[in-house]
Parts: sequence; C-alpha cells; structure tokens
Amino acid sequence: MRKKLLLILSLLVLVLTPSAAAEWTVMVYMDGDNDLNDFAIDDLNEMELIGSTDQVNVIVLADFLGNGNSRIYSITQDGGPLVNSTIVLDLSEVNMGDPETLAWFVNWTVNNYPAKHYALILWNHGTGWKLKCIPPIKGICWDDTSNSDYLTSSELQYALSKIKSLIGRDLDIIGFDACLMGMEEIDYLINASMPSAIRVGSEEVEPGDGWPYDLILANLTANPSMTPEELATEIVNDYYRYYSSRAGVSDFTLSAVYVNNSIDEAINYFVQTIMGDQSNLAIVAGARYSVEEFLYTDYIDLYSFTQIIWSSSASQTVKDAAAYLMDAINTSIIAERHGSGHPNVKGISIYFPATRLEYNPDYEYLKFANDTQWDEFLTWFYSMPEPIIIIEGEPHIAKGDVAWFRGGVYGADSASWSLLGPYNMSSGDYLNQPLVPLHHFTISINTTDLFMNYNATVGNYVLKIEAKNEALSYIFAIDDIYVTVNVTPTLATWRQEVNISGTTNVADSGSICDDVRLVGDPAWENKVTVEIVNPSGCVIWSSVTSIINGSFKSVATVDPSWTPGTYKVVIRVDINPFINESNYTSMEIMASPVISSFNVNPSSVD
Amino acid sequence: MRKVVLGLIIVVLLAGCAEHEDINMTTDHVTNVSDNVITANNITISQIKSDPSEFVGKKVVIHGIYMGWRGDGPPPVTRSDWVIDDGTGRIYVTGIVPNLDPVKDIGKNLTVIGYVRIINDRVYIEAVKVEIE
Repeated sequence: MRKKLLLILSLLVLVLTPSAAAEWTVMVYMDGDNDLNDFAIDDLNEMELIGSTDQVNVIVLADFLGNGNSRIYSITQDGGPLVNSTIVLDLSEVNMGDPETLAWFVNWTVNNYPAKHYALILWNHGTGWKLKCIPPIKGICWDDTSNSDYLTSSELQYALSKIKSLIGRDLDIIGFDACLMGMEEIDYLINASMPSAIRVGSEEVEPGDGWPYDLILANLTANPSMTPEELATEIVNDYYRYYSSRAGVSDFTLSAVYVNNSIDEAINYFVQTIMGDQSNLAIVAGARYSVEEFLYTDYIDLYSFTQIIWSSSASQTVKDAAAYLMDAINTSIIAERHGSGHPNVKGISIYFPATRLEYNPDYEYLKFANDTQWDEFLTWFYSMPEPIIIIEGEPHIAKGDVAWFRGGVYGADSASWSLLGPYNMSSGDYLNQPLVPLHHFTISINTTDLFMNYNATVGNYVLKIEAKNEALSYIFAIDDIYVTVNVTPTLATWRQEVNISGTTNVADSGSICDDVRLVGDPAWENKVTVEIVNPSGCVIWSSVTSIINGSFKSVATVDPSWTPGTYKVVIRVDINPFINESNYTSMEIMASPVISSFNVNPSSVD
Repeated sequence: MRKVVLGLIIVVLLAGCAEHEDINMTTDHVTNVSDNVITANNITISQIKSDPSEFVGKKVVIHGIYMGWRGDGPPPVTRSDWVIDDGTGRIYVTGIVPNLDPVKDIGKNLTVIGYVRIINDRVYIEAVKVEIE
C-alpha cells in the first residue's frame, strides 16, 4: 500500500517538476527523528544560505522528531531562521531506518533531479559496522518514531545494491554526516555495490553540528564542474576549516577514500605474515597499546597501527607486509584532515577490541570479516599463551610526589596491582586494585598518602601486577617492577623570579633568585646547586646553597660585569649519586641591567 | 592451584616529570587512589540542572539508568553523547561511551563518575568512569 502511494507521488512530481540535467545533485538523507532534530534544522538553514542552482540540486529527505513530518525539500536560498525551502513531497511519516526508504529516495531524486554526478549524504547518528543480531550496537540512521529502527550494515549494503539496480550506476560520493563511519568495514561494504564511489566519513565521533553545509555548497555552486575527487576533498577541507577554528574542538576527523582499493588484500597479506610467528604477539600488543583509538575504543586507526608494527619489528618480512598495507592505504586516501586531538590518524579505522571479552563474535558475520583474515588475526591475538603486560612510568618516586604508571594488559581477562614494600599493609588502596580499563590503565601512587596513612618508609617497593585469564585457567604475576621511594625534593614554584633594576648602579643591590623556595626533607640541605647562565650560555655564577626546607634566600647578586640580556637560572638537586633523580628545573628571566658604572656604594634599587 | 607464569613484560622507564603532565584526566579511565569525589554520592540530576553553577567543574557520582539518545534537546558535544536518568531527571554524558545498544539497552543500570560541565547553557557530565551494573 505504502509503495503504491510512493509510486503515485513519484509520478506526480515527475510530471510537475521536470529538471534539466545539472552538474551535481546532492542528496541528503536527513534522519532528524531523534535527539538530533535541532541540528537537522540548523543544517537545513546552513544549506539555505546557499541554496540550489541551475547546476547544483540540493535535495533533502528530512524526517523530524515526532510523527507526520517527513518531507522532501528542494533547498532554496533563504537567510532566515526558519526552513523555507520548497517542499516537493510531503510524505507524512517515513521510517528512515528502512533500507527501502533510502533506496526509494535516491531513485526518486535521481529520476527527478538528473545530474552528471550524484552525492548521497547519510545524516544521523552513526556507530560504524553493525549486524542486526545480538548484541546489537552498530549502525546508522536511528528513527525514534519508527520503533527506533535503524539501518544496519547489511541493510545499508542492501539499499546500495538496490539503488545500483534502480539507477543503473554508482553514486559518485557516499558521505556519512555521522559518527564513526570512516572505517574499512564500511568501505568494503560500499565497494561490494558501488566500487567507483568515494566514501567521505569520520573515524571519530562528529561534533553535533556535523558538516558545514554552507561552506561546502558555497564552493560547489561556485565551481559546479568539480570532479567527485575535488568535491570530496572540498568537503574534507571545509570540515577541517570549520572545526579547526573552533575553540575546544580537537578530536575531529574526516577523510575521503576510494572504496575500490587493495586494502583488504594487503590486510590479508599483513595479518598472515604476522600470524606466522608467535613472537610477533608482543609487537602487536605494543602497537595495540600505542595506536590511536576513538571514542569507541574498539576502533583504531589502521594506518597508525600498521606503521607502529612496521617501525617496531626487526623482521624484514613483517616490515615488507606492513609497508604493503601502508601503501595500499595511502593509495586509497583522496583527502584526510584531523584535529590536534588525533595527530596520527590517516582516515580509515578498523575494529580491534583490545581484549577477548570486548570482542563481539557477531563481527565474523560481517562481509569484511567473512572475506578477509582480520577476524582470524584478532582471534589469534586473544589466544596468546601468556599475557603481555606493558608498563611505562618513573620508577623512582620522591617523597611528596605522585607517581603515575600507565600501561596495558593483553591476553588476560582481568588484572590487579599491588604495591608491596618495606612496610606492613594488610589492606587498603595499594593492594589488589583492579586495572581498569585493562588495556589502558593508569596507576597513581601518592607517596604523601603512603607516608601519612600507611606509615610507609623510604626504600624499595615492588609494583606487582597480577593478570588472570579465566579461559586459560591461569594466574600470571609480574613481581619485578621496583619502585624506589626516596627523599629527593620537589622543587616548588618560583615566588618571585628576579629583582633587578633596569637602571644604573644595580651593583650588589640587585639580586637574582631571592625567592627560591624548596619543599622536602632537611636532608636536602647543602645538596642544592644553583647556577646562573648568561645570555651566551656560560655559567657565570654557581653555588651549593644551604637552602633548607621551605626557606627563602637570595642566591646571587647582580654583578656589574653582566651584560643586558636573558639569563637562565638552573637549580638541581642530587641527593644520591647512584640514582638519577632528575630533579631539575630551570627558568629564564629577562634581565636588562644597563650597567653604566660599578658603584661600591650603590644607590637603591627600585 | 595458583600458577605463576613468567611472561613477557615491556617496561618503559621514562625520565623526568614531563610525562606526568600528559595525563589527560578527561579521557583516561583513571585508577586513582587519591581521586577526590568532591560531591556526595546522593547528588541528583535534578539538583545539578536546577543550579548548574553550583556544580560546574565538580566531580559527581550519578546512579541511574541508561537512556541511549533519549535526551531533552540536542546532545551538547558530539552526536554520540548519551543520556542517564536517575529518576529525578536526565542529563547527557560525554567522554566515555558504554558498550550498550542505544535502543535495546535502554533501562540498564549504570553509574557515571564525571565532571559537571556547561556549554551554551547546556549542562552535561564529562565522564571519567562508567560502570554498567
């Protein structure tokens, strides 16, 4: 019944609105029937700032929050806050999560707004790959009014196949104005139906505002003869331009990619090479630990992951396989931009949960997983015979410091840490603390807390990490990470850097570093070295001071031989010559003593 | 029987203090024994939303149910922001996404620990920890 109605409506519009072929028809499948409703209106208004032209049709199927408000707009220019574009079809209510709706919309638009090139933009929430099975998580185009239906990966693939059969050609650009859709699994899916398409999408979540349609359409309408590659690049650059100028937004990404590429073939070669040698497990664990993740932490940047393995492996075979995959990725990328929050991403993410328990075996039903060895690679990684623990941190902790240890545990289901040492602790915050999340944990050790609340003493401690793997029925313990808690002081902040007159006759009245403050134990006394370095880099004054805990002292007096310029004050403390305490600080001060004469009885200084 | 296995460990010992400054408290899941939850556990979403200025920048613990993307108004930061309802009201959460279905897992109990933030007059929680119960 509904199909008949849509058919009649289609024929009506076909008769009423004949269009000559334009250069581009941009179709936006805007599912605003959810919490993104306000952003849908904002984006329609952005489109209206430019509007359609003779050469560029901008057609939007918008479904707003609530019932009975699904419409197809032909976007016309308008600067007001209301959506005033021409409603070419009022569809009452459609289910945007139904692949038939998507296929119908594209077919209808192509028939009514023919053009040389077509771009389809799927506008909504997005969560990457998804199968509609248990437990369901990933997909795109959630429609709250239509029983919260949404397009799964397989439904998107179905819709694209149907579109291809209906319109008899590939779309030039398939864009996702949605979170997390810039992934290899999605590209692979598109390639199955429309191999000549370009995918534009984000590896990371998108800010609520989504794409800057006013910028994109302004450039497209000004240059409607853009090729698909040029428009895809323009979208990526405009997105970057828009968000890079926004304060506080740094975790954004967008890329344009040829979906017809050799990445899947290169992935197979790469993972088969890796899996051929069990010693590569540690390298993979290190790469998984270091690689950039996205808000969905089971998505990683594929190029970055491969590059880390390329750089960390000593095997030429592994390096060659990694280089092959990196080349394939490079060749497929048309444009890629990202904010400073994702400095190492390249434009294509992939599913790689860090632990076995996070892995969703339904992934194996995905076409990409079915056709490639990637899921076998993940299973191989989770089946490692012994856990791998990565720890980074500072092993020498000064009294008064808070020490951080970061790391990851791979090949285990859970892990905990304890700090064991020369004091008796039967319970408390330093025993059997869970490592969460397992693959990116942070341990903090507050020595003040240790000394104050647990009567800790100076000495050597052991940071013990215990990993458990229920499936393999073993407990794995690491007990050789030594933490030395010593009494190396912490240099406190400077209270007043310099007291030098900028006039004449500063002589011995001008002093430098007269308010150095140190905190720590009395044992630091006579262990503090202060140096003053002149603008030429020479140490012109040095002293082992008797600064004691919390005191203040003038440590140098301006000498008339000093020339104007920038002086550096360096303070270091070396309590124990056998430990690199690394307690070092320095600061630069602008001193401009214009010395005209040396006055043994100097005048006062300002 | 407890079996202790000698395995592989990679230890990276970093000199200096600079590394400490790189800790991003807003995105790391921190196991921090000295974490100070400034506000009490019984702070409600209603209290936060009725007087946001009182809570902005403070760390709170909210127990409630997962509401997927069923928020009052648009998400404040990203399109993947999600909603928790503690019975007194709903508030968006950003920073960490629980491994839950935004439709079918609505109603699941969880706890959010995070900082109260405000942007464009919209109050939300920037999560540092999310526990599904």
